[in-house]
Amino acid sequence: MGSLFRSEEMHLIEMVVQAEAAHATVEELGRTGVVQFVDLNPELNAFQRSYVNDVKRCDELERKLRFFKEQVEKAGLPIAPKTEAGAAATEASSLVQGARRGRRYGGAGAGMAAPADAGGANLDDLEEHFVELEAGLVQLNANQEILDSAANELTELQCLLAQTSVFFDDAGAAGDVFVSQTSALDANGPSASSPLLGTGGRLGESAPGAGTASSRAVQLGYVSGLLEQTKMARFERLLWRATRGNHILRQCTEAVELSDPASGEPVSKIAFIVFFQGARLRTKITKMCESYGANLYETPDTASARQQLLVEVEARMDDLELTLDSAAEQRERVLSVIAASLEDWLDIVNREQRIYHALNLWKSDVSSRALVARAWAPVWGDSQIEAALARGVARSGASVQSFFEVKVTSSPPPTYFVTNKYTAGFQALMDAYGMARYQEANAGVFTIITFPFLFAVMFGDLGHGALLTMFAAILVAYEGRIARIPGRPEMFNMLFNGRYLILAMGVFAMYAGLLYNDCFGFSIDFFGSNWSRPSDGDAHLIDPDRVYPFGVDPGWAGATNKLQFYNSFKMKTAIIYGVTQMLFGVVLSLTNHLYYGNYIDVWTRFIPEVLFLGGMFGYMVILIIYKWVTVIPDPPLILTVMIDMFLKAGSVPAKDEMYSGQGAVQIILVFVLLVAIPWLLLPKPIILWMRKKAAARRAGHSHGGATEALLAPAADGTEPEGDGHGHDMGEIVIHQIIHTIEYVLGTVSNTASYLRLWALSLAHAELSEVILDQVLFRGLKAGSAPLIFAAFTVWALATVGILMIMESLSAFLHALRLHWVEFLSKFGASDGWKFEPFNLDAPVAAE
Amino acid sequence: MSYYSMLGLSTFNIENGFLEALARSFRDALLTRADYQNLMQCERLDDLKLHLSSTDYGNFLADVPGALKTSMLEKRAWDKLVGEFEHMRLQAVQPLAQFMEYIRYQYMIDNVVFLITGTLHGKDAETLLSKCHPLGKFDSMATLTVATTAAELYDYVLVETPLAGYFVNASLQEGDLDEMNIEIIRSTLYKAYLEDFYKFVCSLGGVTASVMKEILEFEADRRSINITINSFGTELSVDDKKKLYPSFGQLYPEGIDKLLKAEDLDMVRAAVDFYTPLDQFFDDVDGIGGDSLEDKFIAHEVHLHKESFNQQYHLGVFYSFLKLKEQEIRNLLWIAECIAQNQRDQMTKFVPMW
Repeated sequence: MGSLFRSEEMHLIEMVVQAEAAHATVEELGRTGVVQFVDLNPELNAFQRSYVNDVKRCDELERKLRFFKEQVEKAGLPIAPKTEAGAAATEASSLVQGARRGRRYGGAGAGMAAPADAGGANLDDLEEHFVELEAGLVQLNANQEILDSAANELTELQCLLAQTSVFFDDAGAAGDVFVSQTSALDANGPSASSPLLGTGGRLGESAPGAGTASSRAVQLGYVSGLLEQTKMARFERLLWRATRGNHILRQCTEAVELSDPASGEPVSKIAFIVFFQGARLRTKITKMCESYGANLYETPDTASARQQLLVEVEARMDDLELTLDSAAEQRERVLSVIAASLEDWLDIVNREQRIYHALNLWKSDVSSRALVARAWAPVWGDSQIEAALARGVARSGASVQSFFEVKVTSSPPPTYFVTNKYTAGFQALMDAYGMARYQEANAGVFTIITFPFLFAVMFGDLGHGALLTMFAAILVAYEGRIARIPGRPEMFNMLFNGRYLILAMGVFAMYAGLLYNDCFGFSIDFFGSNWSRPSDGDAHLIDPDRVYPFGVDPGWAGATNKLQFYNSFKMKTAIIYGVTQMLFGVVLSLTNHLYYGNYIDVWTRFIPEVLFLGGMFGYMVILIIYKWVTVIPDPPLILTVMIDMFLKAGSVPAKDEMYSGQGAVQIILVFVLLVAIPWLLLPKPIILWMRKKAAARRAGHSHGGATEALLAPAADGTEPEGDGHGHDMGEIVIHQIIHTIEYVLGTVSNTASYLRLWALSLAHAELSEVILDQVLFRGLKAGSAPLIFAAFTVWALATVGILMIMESLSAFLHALRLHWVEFLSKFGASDGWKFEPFNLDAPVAAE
Repeated sequence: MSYYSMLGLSTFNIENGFLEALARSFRDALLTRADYQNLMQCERLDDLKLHLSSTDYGNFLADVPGALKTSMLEKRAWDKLVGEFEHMRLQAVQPLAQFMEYIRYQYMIDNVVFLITGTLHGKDAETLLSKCHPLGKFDSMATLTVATTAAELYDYVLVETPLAGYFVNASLQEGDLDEMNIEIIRSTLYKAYLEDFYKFVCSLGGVTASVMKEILEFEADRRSINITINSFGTELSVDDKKKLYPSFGQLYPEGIDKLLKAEDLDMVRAAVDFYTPLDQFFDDVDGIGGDSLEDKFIAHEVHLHKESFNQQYHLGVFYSFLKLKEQEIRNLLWIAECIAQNQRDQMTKFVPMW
């Protein structure tokens, strides 16, 4: 395995596998996880591919599993976690295990046993098993539904009977009025309606003479039943419109809570009874009730008959409950068998599906019974692939050995970085901007140090850094336990995946905090300050020859010119870090040019670039450091020195004088800078154009083939995968112009961009100091316990909310930007594509 | 007062920007020409399912057990579309909310007519209800099956629905519900609905009005022509017919007068002769070209709806999105039916969108 600096050396391999061994081979390869298959049938639709039926079969199995899962979840049974064996063992063994387990528990589940053929266990067996289970479940569900609805009906009837007595009593009381009102309308009551107020009745057979006081035989019919509560109001309105008000609707005030047998949703129903007159209205009202989905029940109109029926209903209810219990028990047994191995099954089906998807990328050889596959693989993976192919053949018992060979191709290989859990986070950060081109210098390596460092420059505070470190350390310490928690929130996952990044950021922030001598906004005197500040005099150095050993002398804290000092210091360091990082980026571009063999770029790009950046800001950095280490009486402003260097080129005004010979150095630098721009702009297009012409002449002499002549110069063009078509002269010129403008302007703007290090660092320090002074110290000065408590609370919350969360986010983003734009633009092409190996053991993202 | 005319450009997005973006994204998810090509190569319905899973339809058929049926395909596709439409409708503020309500009315009318016809033929209420258009569902719909006369229909059910107004204006003749009456009820309702909708979009003003007017006028003209052609050989009097023609559109009023007198296709052709694009639809329709005339109408309708997306800041996109999707479902069904019934040669006869 190579280093992280250049991506792994890749090659395209072609495998030839006997058709019988294909499945086993793919599975073995999937276990090694070093190949990425190339689609050999891009012209085919999804459903025209050879293994589409198997994919469909897996879909169907997945559907069944989803159904099982739904059922298990509805029953509220816990789903057993994936067993280690299920995840790690081979398909066959885990399947056998699953089947055995199924049989062991399924024995109780009445005919739900798994197929016992352990020897030839495969997807077919699983399928058969699933079909049986599904059919059984559907049957059980149907039974359950019938039972449930029967139970519901009984409950409804029970409730209706219990509650209608009120209605009948009501009707009896209102009967006199009602009768007198309606008697005129009532001619002779049709036989269908039951005489509510008369004696006896259709349903009231048991109680003749139990009628109410009225002796006039007014034929009033009634319909009673239950309706969903939500529909009641509309039903009432409809009734009123349909009967023109000639009815009495009584509804009960209490709703019955039932569950819908089909969907299991809870519904609340209300018992009602409608009294009306006439046969036509009966059919109409019955129809309306039906259309509203009301369940109608016939209720006897005498109290004793109702009582009798109620007793009957209760008896039936008891019977039914017994049946229901045993049905539920049976269902639970079957479901618990399913729940025990559901996750394993899901895993197996998932693997199979992925295998078949991979197989769909393969091409079948027309002439023989062999399959051809192409895949990208790292060069170091050859032995693993060889072994996997051999294992595949051995497992399937195929007669012909599989083999693979390396193919030469013009298409760019994928970029593959082998990372570990520490480097993965950093690499992902850089990959997010653009995948590095195949084998170009990888910014991800340097990010491991520079990213936390630049972050820390902005976030530098010992206390805040320590908090950040602690947070990350907890995540790291418990990573194993946290990783097993299912369904972590997305935001937390982001933090969790970047835990090592955060750890590094925290440690670096502590380091930077020590340098700045900043801890929650105050300075700590570690080694004894070199400044003495007597209360009655000016501050003065205790020992002019002693230097505070590490970081900033705490004596600066509280000094009136503290801000000026930190400003100047942080601004200058920001520029130094920036120029260093950019120069380093340009040097990395040199390694790229040398690696790809683009020597022309070394001369026409790297050298002018280094000269331009070094001559302008490199010189400035040298001046900054020179000014720091040298005692200059009345030192000049570096900014004016730089400006005058261009505006008054050749002469150095007295106020700008820093060292002797400054004028000569500066005029040379200005000259170099002025030369560097056309140097960057012109030579490369000219050289390429001349090469092209020469090649055309050569080609013209030898074959006279125009097409070849056009193709030839592309071979040593700037693009490593020169395909000859895009190398129009105009395009090269424009590209070069753009690059030159971008670089020249970028040198200035990017350097200015690094000033954000200073700005954010200052903002952070000032903010923490303000919060400390204005909140905590004020509270402490007030001296009363509740006030101190309140002040501390506010300070702690502000520290976490503003400084730890908001500030760290902004520092993170700025550090990210500096890496993506200012650093990466100096050398990275970032136009590669990521190597995504076919790995069966990697977790699948939910689709 | 016109809502979007003056400040339309600057204020539209405050209320409708998000929903318009949604509608446009749904439009972008329409099947492409390449998708149709692929679909037509399918051998079985299961292949169709496989291909559709790679489009915006996603896994909408994933949980269907057993072999796929076209009815299931239609149901699921509509469920998805209605889900999208309702998702937008429930977030809409006025006047978009009202606009989207108006769109639903036509499906309600369809459902009313469907239920009455079904009941008339003695079909089971339960099955009828399950086959109703999901977009036109309303609360008291089930009660429709109780009504036996037009008056009852109004009294029991429609008085509570937004369609009530259309019924009152329609001044239906008394009588039992029979085939003919139902057709007339449908046409009168639809006429009243179209006129109301037209008035509504006009009141909105701005781009909405100009886009929607064109669409609705075409719809009105198309109905007028269809009613004319379908009434050949019936005993519908001129006066009765006149009540069915929408009172706006390109043809209104002179063209309508001519249509009223038309007794065969040639006279219809003569009646619409001065109106583009209507005259073009009759160009190569010979004799009884009812089918191909309908196809041309649909193609033009699709064209109008596509055009509607070329304008910004108007409500027409919501209508057009639905109509385009509806046509897409019809296309899908056509292809599915062709596959199911093994009529591959007929397969290309759908209305392509792109």
